[in-house]
Amino acid sequence: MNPSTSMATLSASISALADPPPKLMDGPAMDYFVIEMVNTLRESSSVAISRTKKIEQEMVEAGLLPPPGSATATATTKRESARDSMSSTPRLDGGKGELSEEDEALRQRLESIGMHVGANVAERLCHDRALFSDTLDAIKFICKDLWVACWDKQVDNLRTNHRGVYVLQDNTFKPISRLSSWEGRADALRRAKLYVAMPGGIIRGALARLGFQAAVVPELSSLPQCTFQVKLPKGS
Amino acid sequence: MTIYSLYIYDRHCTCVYYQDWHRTKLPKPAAEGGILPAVSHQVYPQPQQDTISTSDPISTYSSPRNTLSSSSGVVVAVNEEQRTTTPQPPQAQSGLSFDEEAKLVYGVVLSLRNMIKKLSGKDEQFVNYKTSTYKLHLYETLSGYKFVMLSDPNADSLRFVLRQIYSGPFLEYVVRNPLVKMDSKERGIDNEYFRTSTDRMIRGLSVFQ
Repeated sequence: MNPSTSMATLSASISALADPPPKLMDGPAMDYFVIEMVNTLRESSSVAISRTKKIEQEMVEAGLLPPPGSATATATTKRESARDSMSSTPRLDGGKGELSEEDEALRQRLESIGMHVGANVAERLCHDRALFSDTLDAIKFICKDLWVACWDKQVDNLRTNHRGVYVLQDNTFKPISRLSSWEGRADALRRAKLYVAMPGGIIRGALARLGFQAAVVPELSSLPQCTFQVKLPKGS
Repeated sequence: MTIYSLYIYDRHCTCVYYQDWHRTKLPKPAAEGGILPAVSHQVYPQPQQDTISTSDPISTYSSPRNTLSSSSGVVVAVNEEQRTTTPQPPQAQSGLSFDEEAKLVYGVVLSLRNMIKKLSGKDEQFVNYKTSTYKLHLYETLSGYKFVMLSDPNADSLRFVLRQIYSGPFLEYVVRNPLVKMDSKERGIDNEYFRTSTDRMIRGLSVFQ
């Protein structure tokens, strides 16, 4: 046994372990999983809502709760959302008020899934990076590395007001690039709002794992284009 | 050498998509409940029958509910299309309503396919047939989707075109589209991106026009 060849193969396998080649996921497979995930979560959130409504109804009948029309409705949905650990979204004027109750529950679930996913993706992507010098650096990391890892391109436009609000604009955002409806553009736009909830959660989760508590609001104006408004607290 | 129309059937034997480019007689809109929603705006039955726009052969997306069309049926402007269409002379409508027509086409395809399989064994495939006025091409996928195209009789086999439609616009904008429920028995697969991309693909072919 020639010692030099065994050393060569040993170092080859060690270097493969130390610096693994990137493992990629098939694009269409990811799309199919996301489609099924949204449909499944829609079903499960409607089941959960009907269950809480039934319990509410029973409590009202038993006289334990005042009749509906008071603050009890919001109390039960808050209890529901407390199970998703990081899903209490601070409400910016993102125009989310038009989502129905079931869609809102679905959106919260998608966002919290996105947060867990984003945190772990950020963990992997940062393993050999230096610390971020400031928040702009962290946002640039999101715009470049995270976007490339998740959606195969970089953000097209980044704007800031230098007071902690950043606007990330992507002109052909991958999750909604194939979304099209028979009923026309307006219907497709309305339904696309749910499909950008998970990407918003990914961004939020990545920033949270890196130590920045941000509020991320996705905005859709014309279809393949999507902007994310990231609001970071002052003095970070 | 030109292409007349395209039908797509799913494995439940229903028509889920229809598009045409040149026809001598326009398809008559289907009876209520005859065809599924989301097959084609052109042939979907409308509650008010007098605002149906003529099927302008060169418009890509003619919606009968387009508020820009006047009640005489002339489409003045469609979405971002820059050209304005000239008023078409009223074309004759075919006697059959669209749902009957679609079922007839499917019946022909199915019977010929079965006959050929019985005559020659299961390795033979029905590819196309030709009459004096048209040629019908079939491409069938393993999942049971049948792509049927009608072209003029002098065309070569357009199976490759149907295959391109399947592997291009169909996979992109139908299978990977979150809003299209495939294999549903209540809806077709029509949507804006799919329609414009097949239209663009067909018009870009050398055999078209």
